[in-house]
Amino acid sequence: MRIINLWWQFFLIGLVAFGGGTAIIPLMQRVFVDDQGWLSLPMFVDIIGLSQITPGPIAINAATFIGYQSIYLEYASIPLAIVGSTVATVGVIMMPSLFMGLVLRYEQRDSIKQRMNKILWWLRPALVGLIGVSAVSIGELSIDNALQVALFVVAFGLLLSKKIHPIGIIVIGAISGILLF
Amino acid sequence: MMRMKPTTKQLFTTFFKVGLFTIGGGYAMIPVIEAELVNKQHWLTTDEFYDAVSVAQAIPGIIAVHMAMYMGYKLGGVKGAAISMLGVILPSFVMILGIASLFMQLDNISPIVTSAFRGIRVSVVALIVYAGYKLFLSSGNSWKLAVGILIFSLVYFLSVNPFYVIFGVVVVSNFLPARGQSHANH
Repeated sequence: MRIINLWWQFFLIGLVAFGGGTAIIPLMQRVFVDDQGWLSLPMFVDIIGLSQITPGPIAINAATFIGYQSIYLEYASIPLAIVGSTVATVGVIMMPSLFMGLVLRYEQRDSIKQRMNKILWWLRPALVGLIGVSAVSIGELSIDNALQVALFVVAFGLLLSKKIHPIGIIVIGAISGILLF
Repeated sequence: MMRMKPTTKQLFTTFFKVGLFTIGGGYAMIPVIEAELVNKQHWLTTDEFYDAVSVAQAIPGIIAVHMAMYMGYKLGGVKGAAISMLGVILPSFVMILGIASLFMQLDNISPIVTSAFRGIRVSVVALIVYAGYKLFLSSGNSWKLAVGILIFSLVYFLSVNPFYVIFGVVVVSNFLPARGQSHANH
């Protein structure tokens, strides 16, 4: 049953969700677009875009959204879709909450931090590689003419200059899309 | 300095407000939570706050949820942790339910929406590339370029599952040296 599988997939994502919101995009893409095929890649990218401009933690936004869509597309039922959202959100925070609970109970927090920092020392560049894969596959989908290349260059330049909030980048994208694409 | 203790209700409303008004995820919440809990309410000292931030970033999961749990626990025990976590998640959950139910219909209604999303997808690529770039800069590992390219090649060309990559790196890192302190600031 899709709802149970949905919970299980987000449970697994929570288990290895090092590095916050953006770092779990490759995991979600692999599971829900490539392996399960519940979402098309364009739909997944739109969900990520909307999750970035909605207030709150990006991973929670994405989990709630993916849970809703995956179930709605299968059963066309809003109540079941809300169950899907709940199951996905609870799934993704289960293991992280358990980890945090253990850390809070355990007194020698510094030794945990040291151990985790050693793991992250090697994991961070690996996550960059994973994010790179998402960037390339989403780039192949989203950028296929000169105007879109130009928009990408402008958006990335603005982010580098730090003069703009991510929400501004999404708004610029939406306006350019309406005017140009 | 006088230390205040928040009530459960105060904890909930504070984290609810943080969840409701911060766009940009966990990293964007750090200064907002600091302003609220440290500077305004004086519930935590700056040291306690940054201890929570560093733990929140070190263990797997969602940074905002970790910070809410850690600080909620400090200020109100297990109940405080649960209430704070619920507070920070609830605004997201409710707003996304609304957006998701509109999203299915929007797509069919108007070609303008379709065009807007064509542009938004380009922005999403820029945001992902930028996030990867920042993560790359934040790593102090001198092998970071080699590790990044190796992992990219494994997943992109050989379709290795990213879950196995993460598990593999976690296991292997125990046998590898790690020099210096890695920096998590973005």
